[in-house]
Amino acid sequence: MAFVLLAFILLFGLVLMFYVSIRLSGLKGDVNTIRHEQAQELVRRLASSPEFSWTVEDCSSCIDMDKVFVLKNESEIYRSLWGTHIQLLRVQTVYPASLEEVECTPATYPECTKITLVDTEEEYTTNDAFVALCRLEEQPLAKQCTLGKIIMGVNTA
Amino acid sequence: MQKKGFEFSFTWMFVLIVGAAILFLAVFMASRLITREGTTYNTEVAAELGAALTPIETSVEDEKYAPIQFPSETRVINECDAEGTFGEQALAVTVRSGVGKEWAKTGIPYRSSYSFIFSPDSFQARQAHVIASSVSLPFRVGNAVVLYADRYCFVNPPEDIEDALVQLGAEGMTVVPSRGACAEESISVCFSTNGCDIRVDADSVHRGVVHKGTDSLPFVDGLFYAALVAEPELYECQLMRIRKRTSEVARLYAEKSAFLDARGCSSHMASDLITYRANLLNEHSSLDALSAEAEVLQRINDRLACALF
Repeated sequence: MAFVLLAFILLFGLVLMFYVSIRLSGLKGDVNTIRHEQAQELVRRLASSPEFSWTVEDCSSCIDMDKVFVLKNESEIYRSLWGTHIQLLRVQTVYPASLEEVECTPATYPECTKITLVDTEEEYTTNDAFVALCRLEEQPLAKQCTLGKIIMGVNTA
Repeated sequence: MQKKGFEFSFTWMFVLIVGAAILFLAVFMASRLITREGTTYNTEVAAELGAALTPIETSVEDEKYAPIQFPSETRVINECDAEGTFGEQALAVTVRSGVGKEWAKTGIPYRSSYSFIFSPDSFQARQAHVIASSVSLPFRVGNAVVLYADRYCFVNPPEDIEDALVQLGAEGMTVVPSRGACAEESISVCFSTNGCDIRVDADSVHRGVVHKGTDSLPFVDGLFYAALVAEPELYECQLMRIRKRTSEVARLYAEKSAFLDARGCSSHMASDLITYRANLLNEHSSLDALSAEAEVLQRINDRLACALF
């Protein structure tokens, strides 16, 4: 009788451990799914956020590159808004395509192809969204737009 | 004669002790698992609610209404923290359970520095309503998302407000000619007269004051429904967060102004925007004064060859 009971205890323990391990792996999956969904949601949201959007006239997916370029110097402050789990945040020209990628700096702007706001050089998975990148160019300054995308890298650890 | 008694051997004692231990362990683990499953579920619902509010928020041009259906009776707890550069919004949820405690512990809240969600501190319902309004001071800074489950009864509102309510078509918000026509469980809203749960001093949804008990909540464009629905403390906190966010965007525009100056398109708005920024962060600056300052900035911007916003 005692041995039967001991066997029950062991069986009960094993089943419990099996269930808990399955649930925990499921939870990790859920966490990654939620993080991924939140990153997608944030990419969508960024294009229309006041810090990025072209507000001079109505244009729902236009990004003001002049504003984003200015924002590059303030990106540390904005990390609390975007979230510290963001490992990469970049706005990049897609078309017209350029042979080489040039990071925008005061010396290269506006003859450049990408503005990197955050790059921690850590591991991440990316989400992106296509947008129109607009800025004031030529004399007199007038709105010029190119095709681009916002790329966001989120850590999955 | 030999007496025959119950033999309480070691085996029986062992069986009883171990049996009781197994039962106790099983019940304990089951209750722990149910609690944890409940917390996990509540966390998921909070995350889904946060995600569900996003499309409503991002796609809104001016004002938009949408209903939200919860899987079952749900309690929503809204918290706001204005500390830090942008502050933070936390939305926690607990779903009514048929097992154990009726209301389990809330899950991990959905936190966001982006959102400005206005609601009662806590409410419970199977269906809630969402109104998202664009907030511009004078440039767009985000959306005020109003989450409510109560019914509001507007008693003889001014024409502009009645038009705005009809155009919005929000469920749970009705217009009636007199106080007596309000449903019993609804929250009555009077305009420039007393005798209702809420008194509003305004001719339009663009500017005015909402009075709730001893609290007066001033509102500007995009914040009328927020002032109506939100708890005064939460309203003030979210308003402070909006002001902080506006101040950061104002700084960005001031830098953009200087940047465009260098490229041959002078706006000379940088100093005005820096002053506006300081006023936004000054708690003593009234919303009315800030709104007037925003209107002046908008007029200056409209006259520019290279408009900033």
